[in-house]
Amino acid sequence: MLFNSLIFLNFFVVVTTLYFLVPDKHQWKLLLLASCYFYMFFVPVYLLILGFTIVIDYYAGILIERKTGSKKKLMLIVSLMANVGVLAVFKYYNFIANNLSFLLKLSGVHHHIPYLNILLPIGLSFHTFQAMSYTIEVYRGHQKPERNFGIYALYVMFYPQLVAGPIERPQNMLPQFHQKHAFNYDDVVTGLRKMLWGYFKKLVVADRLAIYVNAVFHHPGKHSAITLITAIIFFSFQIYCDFSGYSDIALGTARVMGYKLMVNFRRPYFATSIKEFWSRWHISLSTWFRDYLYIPLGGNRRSISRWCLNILLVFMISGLWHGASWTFVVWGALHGFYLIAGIFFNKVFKDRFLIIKNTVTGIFFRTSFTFMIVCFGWIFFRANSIDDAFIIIRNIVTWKGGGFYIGSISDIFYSIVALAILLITEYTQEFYSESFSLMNSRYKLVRHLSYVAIILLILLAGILNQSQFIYFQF
Amino acid sequence: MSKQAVYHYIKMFENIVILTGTLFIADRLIGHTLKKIYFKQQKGDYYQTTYAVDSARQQLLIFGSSRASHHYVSSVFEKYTNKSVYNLGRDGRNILYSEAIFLQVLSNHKPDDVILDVTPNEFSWKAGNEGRSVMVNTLLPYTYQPTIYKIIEKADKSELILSKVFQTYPYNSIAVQVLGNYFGVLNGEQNIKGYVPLLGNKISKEVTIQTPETRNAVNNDLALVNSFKNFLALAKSNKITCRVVVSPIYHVDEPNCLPYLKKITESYGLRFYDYSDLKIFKDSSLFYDNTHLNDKGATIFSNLLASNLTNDLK
Repeated sequence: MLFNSLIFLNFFVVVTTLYFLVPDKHQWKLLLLASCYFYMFFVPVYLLILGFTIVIDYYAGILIERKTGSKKKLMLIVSLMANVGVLAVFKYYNFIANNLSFLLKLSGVHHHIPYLNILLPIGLSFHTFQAMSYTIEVYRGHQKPERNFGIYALYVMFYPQLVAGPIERPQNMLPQFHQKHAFNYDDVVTGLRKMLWGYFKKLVVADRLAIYVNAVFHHPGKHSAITLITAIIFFSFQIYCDFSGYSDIALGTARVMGYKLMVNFRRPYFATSIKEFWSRWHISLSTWFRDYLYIPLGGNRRSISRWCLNILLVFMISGLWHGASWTFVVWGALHGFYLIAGIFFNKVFKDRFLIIKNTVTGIFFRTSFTFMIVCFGWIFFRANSIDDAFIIIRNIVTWKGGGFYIGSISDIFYSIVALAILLITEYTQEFYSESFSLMNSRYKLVRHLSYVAIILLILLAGILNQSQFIYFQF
Repeated sequence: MSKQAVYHYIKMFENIVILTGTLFIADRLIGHTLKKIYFKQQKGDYYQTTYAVDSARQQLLIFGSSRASHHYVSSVFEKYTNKSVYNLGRDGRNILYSEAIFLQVLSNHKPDDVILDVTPNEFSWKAGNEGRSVMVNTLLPYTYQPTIYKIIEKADKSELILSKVFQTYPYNSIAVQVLGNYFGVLNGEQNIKGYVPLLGNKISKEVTIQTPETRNAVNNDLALVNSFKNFLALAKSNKITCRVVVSPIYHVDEPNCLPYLKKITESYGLRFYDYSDLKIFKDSSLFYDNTHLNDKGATIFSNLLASNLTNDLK
């Protein structure tokens, strides 16, 4: 069941209505039932895989608390192995097999390791990471194990964030499932407003830009430098609006029922450095990697070479998390390299540029530069293969001619208008108060007119063919 | 229920009423304006469909995709057959659209002859939901026609409901083009009795010409196969002479279903005309791109086909 389908809207209305009608003590049961139904809409049998890790992690959590020393550690390892094992089989087996076959071929052994013909369970990387954060937090003593199996299952399966995050922490979510959630006007309005903006981002911006992006990236070798640059910029906004649009809908859906999920995006393209970019982009994943991988590896408390290695390692694994392909690994490594370069730049030049650093020109330059190098990274993220990525880079560097690919004039028009609305709104939110935006206006009429305008924009310019969210494949 | 909860419910209800009312008025206003403008267009793709739905009354009608629209010069067929001719082909539409338009035409008028242009990838191009969605979205502005209404209701009821609830919805993704055509900002293609000439040549030099043998394996979509069969059955049951024609093609990557198309056509006792591999059409100067003839090529092809069909059509 996709968020951008009529079925979901019906599901949302029915579940939310029932949620406020059932007695408080049964609310979580209803949510668990609804979440199972939601997940079964994709591939019903995969609920068993989810069930398998839920059972293991639930008991692991309880046993971790009871045991001490090496036994405690063993329980954690069992839980992590179960989650990583499921990920390895379903997401990375074919990738590993393919690379092993290639290595064997290089060493003269012609043996093809057979592939597994299986469909990746939707949202697997998200809910396994969320489950892992639970057992790790219990192990660290930051979280008491959840005794109610149903509530623990709901923590992993809560339908708004089940398939594409935000990757929540038990400290935030578990207490909320134990609380009573009565109908609250402010929560409902805040949630619906968030959902509406999420739908605008996904249907009007992301899916419209996708038409141009897909056409260009399908045959990158055919296109001129200017076309490729346009497609890369469009993709940078497509992926942002696709994923942050999903997150907004998830946050909004949960908020309507009174649940507060963590913010996953904070206008990342206004970042003035790569470090800042990662504190604004997919925050739930970057903090996950920070807390559970980067810091345990030693973070920045080691020698400079080890520190750089830690950064590179974390970003390469983060790239691999996105997809079982070398394009994602290169994308991750590239971001790691950016951060390392930033560290050295700051060490060498220290405060030499402090005078212009925080001026309007300085901020503009740094924001533009950050956006540019992020866009360069997106080439690897979006390209169908490493070869395609290098073709794109070569065509841009050599400034390949051949005219500008327009595709459909109306698509370009809609794309530019949608981007303009997005940028103006985000600019306002970034540099002025949130309440300055039309949807948050203190005037009721302005608020209502802005809701109506967005709904009409979705109806007139949205792509309403229920296209997949990019991050669902991860 | 607490007093506060009641207050929250009332406040919510009040806001829902205001929002629904504002949305209803704005939607009706914009939807109505777009409808007026849409039906006032005199050129371009949308006009082509409006004409097909409301006004096609000619004796010989040509159906198909962009290849029909750009390959069949109506006036050439008129000259050879002495019948009124109109080309109902439309860019980016597949057999599902042709079938729907044929059904609609039959609700008003029975032509003597029809030509259905098919392509080597007829059963795979815009297969599945994509083709259905394109057909439904194209026809949403015409639900005032009972036949179209039934077609959409059968294909995708939710689209029909959305278009009834929101009057702007039928103009989703096309409003800019409609306004552009109407105000003359965009140059909607002018057609000559449905024929839209393509001028010039944009063939990529890197392309190698493929023969039917080198094309990919057949990959047939059942819905498209059934739609093709329905089209032929409709013609047969209405005693309309139907010709299935494959017009010239320079290059195609997609699966080749021509043998299957031929087999089905012949099973209905109809003739199948295949011009896809004629030697004279190996000349790239007759093509606009890999799959479309230019005006020069279309005129040669139309004369050739019309003269071949003359005896049958008269």
